[in-house]
Amino acid sequence: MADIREVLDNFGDMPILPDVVAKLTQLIASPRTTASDINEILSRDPSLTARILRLVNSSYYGFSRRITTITNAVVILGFNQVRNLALSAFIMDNFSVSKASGFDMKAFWRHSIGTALVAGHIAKGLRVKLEEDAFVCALLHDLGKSVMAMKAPEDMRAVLAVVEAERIVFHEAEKKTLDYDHATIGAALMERWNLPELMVEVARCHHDPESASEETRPLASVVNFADIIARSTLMGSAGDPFIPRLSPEVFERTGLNWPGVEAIMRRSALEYRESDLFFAT
Amino acid sequence: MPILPIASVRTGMTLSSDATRPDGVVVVTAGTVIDGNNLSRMRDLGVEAVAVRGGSSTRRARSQTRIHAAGKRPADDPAAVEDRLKRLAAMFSEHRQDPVMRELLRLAVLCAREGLVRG
Repeated sequence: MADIREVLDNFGDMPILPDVVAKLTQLIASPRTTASDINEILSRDPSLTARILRLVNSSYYGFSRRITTITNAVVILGFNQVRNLALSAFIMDNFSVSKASGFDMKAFWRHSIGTALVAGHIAKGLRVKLEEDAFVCALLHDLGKSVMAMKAPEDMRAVLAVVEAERIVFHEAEKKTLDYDHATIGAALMERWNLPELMVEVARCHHDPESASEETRPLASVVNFADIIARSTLMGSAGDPFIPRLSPEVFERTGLNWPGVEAIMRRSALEYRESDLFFAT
Repeated sequence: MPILPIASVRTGMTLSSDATRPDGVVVVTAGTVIDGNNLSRMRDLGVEAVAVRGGSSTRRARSQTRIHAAGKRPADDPAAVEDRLKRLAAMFSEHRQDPVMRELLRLAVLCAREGLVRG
């Protein structure tokens, strides 16, 4: 395996986390921060504010009344969720162009959105409260694929060719083709952006939750399972038309049973119809 | 540049752009003269329409053109449901012996038949 920081450096300039998101992350860390502080920061970016409100009012959150201000959104969702929505919007906007890599970026983000919806529901059922983190970790779990499509289109084309020729899943094709993989690239970029360690580790371990630390393993398992459910309900495309095997350990760790899985599939499939809300208009 | 549904494509035509699967993976590259082999391959891999030189450009043919057809058909269109079931069967083909994956496929098929799955 190559030195991942070196690989990332060779990819060239990467988008810099915008001030609004960086400032939100700083504010969240302070116990003195109030909802109006968050509102003040976000009001500097009206399009981001509008996008967050659109998402907050989607059926995923299912509020009976309309949320019309960021202050209300913060009170209802909490600081972390609002920051996560801002982060998600920034990343989806900045990693949406695939330079002739043969990788369908729109289908890719649809898959990521589907995975996030499913992960949110799986996490709701866990004893450990992971719902907030599950959604954003799942949305960004494959960030490395979009980085590859944008910054290393030849590598991406080579992996897709192996996927097709050998009829194997994307991450297995990577192992046969490259000396790095999307999971470590995505994690390295998140690390560079100083995102929370939990998020970084989930990105790195989402194909192999057993390799995650004891603390991160439940969330890595949620994202792993959510990815598999999103594929089985044909939500977008993760870059291959196949599905990885669901391990019994992951299944057990999420605490789900089959009726629970079916309920999540049905609910997420309905919510997925609103996935356009996540894209900039 | 006429775009034809795969059922209307004939050998001897030349692809004027890459033929892709519904997930965007290129199956046959632009400039290839279509023969029996690559025509079967495109059909087998789920290519639904291709841009060709020398093919029909009728309004009817264009209206039938759907490279990413599954998501654009009405959810309860029997052909769209059939497409999804085929994709699911191909997706899970490596896991036929795995009881967990068989159960997951059963639920996915149930959702697809009910029109819940729209991908």
